[in-house]
Amino acid sequence: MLELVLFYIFGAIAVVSAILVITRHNVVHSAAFLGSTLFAVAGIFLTLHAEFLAGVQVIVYVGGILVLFIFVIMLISVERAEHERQFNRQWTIALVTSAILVAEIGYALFQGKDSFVLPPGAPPSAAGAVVAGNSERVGMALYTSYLLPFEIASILLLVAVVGAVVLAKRRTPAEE
Amino acid sequence: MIILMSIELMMNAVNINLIAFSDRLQQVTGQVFAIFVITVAAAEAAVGLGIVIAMFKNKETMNINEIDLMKW
Repeated sequence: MLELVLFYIFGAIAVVSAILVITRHNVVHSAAFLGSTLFAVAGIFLTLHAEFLAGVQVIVYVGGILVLFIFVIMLISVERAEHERQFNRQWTIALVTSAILVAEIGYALFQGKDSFVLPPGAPPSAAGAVVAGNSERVGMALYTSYLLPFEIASILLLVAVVGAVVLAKRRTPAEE
Repeated sequence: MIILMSIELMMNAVNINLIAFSDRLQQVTGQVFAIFVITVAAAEAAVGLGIVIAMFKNKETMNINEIDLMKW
């Protein structure tokens, strides 16, 4: 019961802040609301018994990506970006497309709602987390079954770091 | 800028979906995949913001309609 109430609170915070992210005209305000959305999503992860992912969410998203966003907002002039038109001409097409998507997902959920009922005798949600901690289970799966994707992800990060440095670095006089 | 933030929001939506099904099906695979999604999101944010900075240096604009450097 408490879990359900917490889920609704976190979900409401996440949805409202996500709407505010895309409607505020000031980019700094958008970044602040993005931070509150990310914290709310971390809370949702906690209610879904994914404690490790909640920690990763706070550290990587709020501590890394959001700070990166704010750095870039401060590097480029905020005053100029502040009073720009928020929506393009294509917003009607986007609205229609997302309405179709919502209808499709809703229809699929309505069709498959019988399969949401757990079969009798199935373990409750927290049973697996009691046997071994969430971090242990994620770590075991990550370093045994998913070792190759893990290494590929690390190479992707290396490529991204090199690419970001090459894109953002100042041209030296010798190159010009 | 807002576009990049919206991409992060979409990645978060996918992560919630993955973790909800991981909890529902009592499998840890969804959480492992969510870690990969977070990795890709971090890489994408780094490269995207690098592109934004390079674009701002060259064109002095942030408006998405004026960004047409690949047109000839």
